[in-house]
Formats: sequence, structure tokens, C-alpha cells
Amino acid sequence: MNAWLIAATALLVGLVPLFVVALRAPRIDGVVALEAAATVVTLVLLCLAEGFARSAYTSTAITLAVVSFIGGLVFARVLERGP
Amino acid sequence: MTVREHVEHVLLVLGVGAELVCCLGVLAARDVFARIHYAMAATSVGPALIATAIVVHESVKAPGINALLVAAFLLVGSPVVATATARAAGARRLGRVEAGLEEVERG
Repeated sequence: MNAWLIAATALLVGLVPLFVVALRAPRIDGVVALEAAATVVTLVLLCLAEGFARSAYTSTAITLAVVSFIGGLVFARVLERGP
Repeated sequence: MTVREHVEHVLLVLGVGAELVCCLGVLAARDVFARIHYAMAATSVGPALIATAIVVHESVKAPGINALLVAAFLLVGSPVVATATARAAGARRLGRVEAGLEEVERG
């Protein structure tokens, strides 16, 4: 297990408080936690790509960054108008 | 262990530490605007440090460029999402206040 895989594991621990916020806080706070979680998972994917020495895996991180950006905007728009 | 590896590990530890602090900050914050503040810190400080660590590890090759691309996209894109989320939170809060006022007026 190299430093990159340890870093990825440590970053995954950071998802726990975000899950707690998403489950217990109001909906709009949950969206904020979701945005932060998407960033953390993007970094986890980058670290895993380095840890396994597969540069092709970084394309999943790029894809997640783009998709989470669009998802964040859509959630914000829906919650601005919805319940 | 070379100097380059030391630098890489220090950057990695700082990046992971910054991310964990931001995650705990999102949990500890009192309202949505403070949570947005911590979430946006998580999209700038941590990714920049980790992407720099990857560049130090890989030099300017495909993985390093990809990591810089991800960090740059997060840095540029997340303020847009933060603004939209803050506006939605403000609109929801205003909507609740207006609903409360209408209820008071009705008696």
C-alpha cells in the first residue's frame, strides 16, 4: 500500500461527516454536503489513479468533476423553486 | 527517500488534511451559508495541493496535466455552484419569512 492509496482511504473517511449532514440537516444543506462529497470523491479517484499507476483512471475524475458541477447547478435550481 | 518524494508527501498530507478539516467544518457549521464557505474551501485548497503533489510525482506528463485540469475545473466551477446554492438558500429563507408574515396577517 503506497502513500496515494493511504491518502485515498483517509479522504474516504472525510465522507462520513458529509453523509451525516446530508441525512440530518435541511435539504439545501444536504446539497452543500453533496457538492463537498463530489469534490472529495474526485480527489479520491485522482489518488487511486496515482496509487495504481493507471493514468487512464484520471478520466473518471475529470468526468465526475464535470457531472457534479452540472448536478450542483440543477439541485440549486430545483430547490430554489421547489419545496 | 529523495527530496522530491518528501515534497510530494508533505503536499499530499496537507491536501488530505485540508479536505478533512473542510469536511468537519461542513458538519460543525451552524447554517447553510457557513456550510457553503467550508464546502468551497474544500474545492480550492485541497485539490490544488493534491494536484501539485501529483505534478511533483509525475512531472508534466498526462496524469499531472489531468490532475491540474481537474483542480482548475473545480477552482473555476465551484464558485458558480456556490453562488447558485446560496441564492437558492436565500430564496427559500425569504419564502419562509413571507409565508410566516402572511400567516400573521391572517391571524
